Amino acid sequence: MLDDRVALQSTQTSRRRGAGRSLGSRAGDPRYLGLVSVAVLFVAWYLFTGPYHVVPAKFLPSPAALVKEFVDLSRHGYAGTPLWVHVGASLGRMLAGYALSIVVAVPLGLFMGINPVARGLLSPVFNILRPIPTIALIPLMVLWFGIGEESKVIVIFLASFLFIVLNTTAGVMTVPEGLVRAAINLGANRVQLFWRVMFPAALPSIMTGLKTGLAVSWAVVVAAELLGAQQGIGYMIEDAATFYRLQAVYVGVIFIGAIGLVMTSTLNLIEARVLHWAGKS
Amino acid sequence: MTPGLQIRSLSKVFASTGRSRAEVAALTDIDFDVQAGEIYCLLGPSGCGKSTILNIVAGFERMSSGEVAVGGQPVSGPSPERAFVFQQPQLFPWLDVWENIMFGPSVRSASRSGARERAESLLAATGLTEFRHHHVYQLSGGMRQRVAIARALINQPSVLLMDEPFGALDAQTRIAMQELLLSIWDRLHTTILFITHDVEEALFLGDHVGVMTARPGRMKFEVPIPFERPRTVETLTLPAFVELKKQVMVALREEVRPGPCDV
Ligand SMILES: Nc1ncnc2c1ncn2[C@@H]1O[C@H](COP(=O)(O)OP(=O)(O)O)[C@@H](O)[C@H]1O
Ligand SMILES: [Mg+2]
Repeated sequence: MLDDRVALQSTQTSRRRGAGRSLGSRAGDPRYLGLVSVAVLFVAWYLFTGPYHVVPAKFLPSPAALVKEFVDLSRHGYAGTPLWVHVGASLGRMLAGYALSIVVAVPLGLFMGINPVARGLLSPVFNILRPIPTIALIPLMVLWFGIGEESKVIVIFLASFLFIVLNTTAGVMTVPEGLVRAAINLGANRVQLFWRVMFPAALPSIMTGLKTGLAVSWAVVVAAELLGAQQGIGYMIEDAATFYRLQAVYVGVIFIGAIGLVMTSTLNLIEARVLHWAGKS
Repeated sequence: MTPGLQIRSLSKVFASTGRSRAEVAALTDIDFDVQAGEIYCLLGPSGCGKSTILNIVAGFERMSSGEVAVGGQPVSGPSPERAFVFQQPQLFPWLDVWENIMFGPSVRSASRSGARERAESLLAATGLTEFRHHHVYQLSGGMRQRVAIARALINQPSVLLMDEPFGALDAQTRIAMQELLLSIWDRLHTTILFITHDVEEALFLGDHVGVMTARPGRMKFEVPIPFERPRTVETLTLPAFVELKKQVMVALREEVRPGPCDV
């Protein structure tokens, strides 16, 4: 069984290496391919909305129109509020809810990983809750916590919470028995076993939870801001759509995407630095 | 030279588990001594309970009855005094070579300077001096197992327990590892209990070889290995070596043939 796993990993490694070698040139690098498709999309967007006018501006504005709108919004703000305040409001809620989620979910997940009683009690509850989309809970949260900041932060918290808990627990539970035995044999006590073996061994899985959690939390920010917010990118998108300010809607959507990309890349960067061993055999 | 290991009337029955109702009698009345400072190789068909013996001696597994003693003192529970080298190296991938080797001393808060000196000499003995800052995933299988050996020996164990440590390596690397193990042992004379299913490996390394029956494992017989040390690749071709190897293989084959052998 163990040997099978090793064999499997090594064939995967060699396949990966083999693929890299056979393509060889920079053109084969997935990153460059990604740039190519982004460039093609951009050119198509430009051509269809600008020179050829295939798509009417009421559905999709041209790149030039969006740049102009962005400059306008930066100068004059939206609905009397500077653009950076909208962006800051969304980011602030996001970071508050997400940080709260990490602070609660990681310790809880670790504890569930090492404590069968806690796991037995909580896992079924979490498994029942897991399929419920967070967005469905927004009206409830508003009933409970009102339309102020609390309900928004809690919705963002809820969106990522289960992902982080479940991945953390799974990470602890799948620490190879051999590593645990090795540590005990070398003289580690229970506390050392946890902090110096189980925790680092679980980190790659925890990181998976953090990345998924980040994506889903950011995704519900917009939904959370639909309710009674006076600031935030989600508010701006919703409000602009109501008044048919399509260009402002698009600027908001692009901001959501760009900020999400920056946050995800940051986590990826941290992962590559800190968890250098992850995924290597 | 470190104290010997005594195993008396050791039996192990695995309790029935969910899927298979039946209890598994893994070991029956195992008796043998590993003399102080010798290498004792335990041979037996797959599934006969070799790993179970080692896991019990290491304290990972409880015995059903019997006694295990080091230097006459009964032992129970895991201890760095009975160091383990597993079939898979089981190195900590987030640590580099040096940190892996120093894991034992650092958790045991043993004297750092003494440990560092031992780590240096173990690095040299295992040919890893230049690789101290390498990460585990940058090493070959043989190098990883050398780190595992150094990591076990830095705790200055009384007994070194090795469970088919070279079983996953290719033939050339395996021979190199066997020679390396002998050269290290030649300096430290740590008592070693070495499990293998490879007859040639057992005869090449061991001062004594114990052969086990198929499950439930019993001791079938024990032979002293007369070949002079230091042993080299030439030892493998001595007529006496070849003859002894044939006899042991015949005895082992009797055990592999009759029952269905579980892996
Ligand atoms: N935890 C366990 N529960 C039940 N049966 C086990 C357990 N561990 C080992 N066994 C059984 O005990 C026998 C001896 O196993 P093992 O010591 O691993 O053999 P070997 O190392 O000689 O191949 C096997 O038949 C195996 O199926
Ligand atoms: Mg075994």
